[in-house]
Amino acid sequence: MPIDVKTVKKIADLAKLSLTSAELEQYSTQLEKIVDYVEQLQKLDTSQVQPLAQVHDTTNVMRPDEVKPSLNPDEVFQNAPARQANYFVVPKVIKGTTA
Amino acid sequence: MDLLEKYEPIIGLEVHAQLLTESKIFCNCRNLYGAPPNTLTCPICLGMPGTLPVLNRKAVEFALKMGLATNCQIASYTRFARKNYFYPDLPKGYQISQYDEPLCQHGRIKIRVNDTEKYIGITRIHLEEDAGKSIHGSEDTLIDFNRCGVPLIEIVSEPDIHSPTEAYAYLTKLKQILEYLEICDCNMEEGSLRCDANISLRLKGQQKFGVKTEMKNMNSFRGVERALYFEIERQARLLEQGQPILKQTLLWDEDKGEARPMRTKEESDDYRYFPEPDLVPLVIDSEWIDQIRATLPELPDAKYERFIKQYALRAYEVNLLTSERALADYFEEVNKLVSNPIFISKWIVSEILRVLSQEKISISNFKIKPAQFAELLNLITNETITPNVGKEVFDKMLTSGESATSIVNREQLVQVRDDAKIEELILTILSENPEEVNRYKSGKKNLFGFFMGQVMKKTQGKANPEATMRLLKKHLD
Repeated sequence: MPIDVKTVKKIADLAKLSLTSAELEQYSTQLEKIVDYVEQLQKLDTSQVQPLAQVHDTTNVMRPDEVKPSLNPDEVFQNAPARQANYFVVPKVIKGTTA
Repeated sequence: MDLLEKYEPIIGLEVHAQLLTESKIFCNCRNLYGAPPNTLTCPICLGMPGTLPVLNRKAVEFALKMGLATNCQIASYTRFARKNYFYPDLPKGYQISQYDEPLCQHGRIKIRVNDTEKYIGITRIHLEEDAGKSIHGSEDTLIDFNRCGVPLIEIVSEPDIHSPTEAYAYLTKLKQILEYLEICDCNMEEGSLRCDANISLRLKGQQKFGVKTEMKNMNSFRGVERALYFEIERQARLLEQGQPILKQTLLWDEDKGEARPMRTKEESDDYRYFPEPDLVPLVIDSEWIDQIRATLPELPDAKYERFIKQYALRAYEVNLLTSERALADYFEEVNKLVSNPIFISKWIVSEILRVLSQEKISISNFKIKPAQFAELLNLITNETITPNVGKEVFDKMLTSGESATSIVNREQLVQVRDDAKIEELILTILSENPEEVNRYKSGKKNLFGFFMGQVMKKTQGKANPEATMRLLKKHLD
């Protein structure tokens, strides 16, 4: 299945990646190969096979509603690139937009 | 507005309710509003690589309660799904939610608008985790992850709502049920209850739905109602001008009383849902459902019907009394000690509800407890004090916290029932007001109230009203 540049652009936008036009071209060729491979797999007759979302054969794993101590602030911010008081700091985002 | 004669609004509501569990949905951090930022976080709710969520059983049970209370079908097999999107308040890059296999489906609740009952369908109720909170500064954005992982149920209505008034009634009913179940504190200002709306218009009689818009950011039920009126009028005007409705998301601005569009996205949302591999499916058998069903309290509709039948009260009062479970309990506690439902209901509605709304408190924080209130009402029903004096004593109880009996004794408020005493007083009053007596006798019958008032004034409201009336008539007529 051909993957055009427009599709790559959309995927990149969803992943918050900005790609150059050369990269868009490059990835469209590469993604096409991957999708072709999946298409091969699609040819297998799986009508008799139950869809598998988990490899475990278990259900209903739950825990009781109990509180345990949370991390202390130093641990919380150990990997944070930017911290202000007890907040994580991220580049300005405009409310309601995800782009 | 005559445009509303022409167009029919179609409204669907999505309500998010935070569940009152002790801990978060997938980790053991405390589920609490208002703690210092990021103090209720751990590697799981911070989305650290390699961590695994473990489902809180209580959250599932709370969601099941809501499903049963809204007449939903409970899924025998249900699963979580990943909803993928990037936003700084969601550190994993996906929200654990439910997609095509929700916990509850096909429910309905009953609403009442202008004495007409109507059912609003519930499409689904599913479990998910809340995201963190962003504080947008001028330079950058600050993130608090305390809310990240707080259990939510999302309650999606069918597009059965046809007016802002119905939307208000629907939300009120949902809130009432959530509060009866004690699974959500329904505080819209703190965000424990949130509502988004989908709105479209169509010509009356037409089958096909129009293009819908989504309205967000409403922080009160009245706000929802106002935002819906605004959007319905906006769409109606556009349609009248032959302009298209754009499929977009609008943000409600309560202060300005208007909605503005969020930046229009070129691409529609693409969340690329897939089954959450870190959580195993849930199988809900009838035994578990029965266990949950057995824990349900008497629900608002059932309580309403019972109050009407058992206490012979009017719909208006029963609506008020059953609006909150604690208020209904209060009424029934008092009734055990006074057993005069109509009398009690009158006092609760006119006196207690007035104080509650003035002081903006709920019945559970009301100072006068049922037994103390019952003591006051009994002093009135056994004619120790008059109803007017009763109101005075009620106010004094509120300020001093004293019992009704001790106020009545200390201030000598016991009513005067001695006919001879009242009669003596009446004769004095009549002789002091000869002009009024003449006018009354010449036909100004409404002066009767004046004489009643004089007697009450001289006795500080303590004269028995029936005796006073009887004796006044004897001397005047």
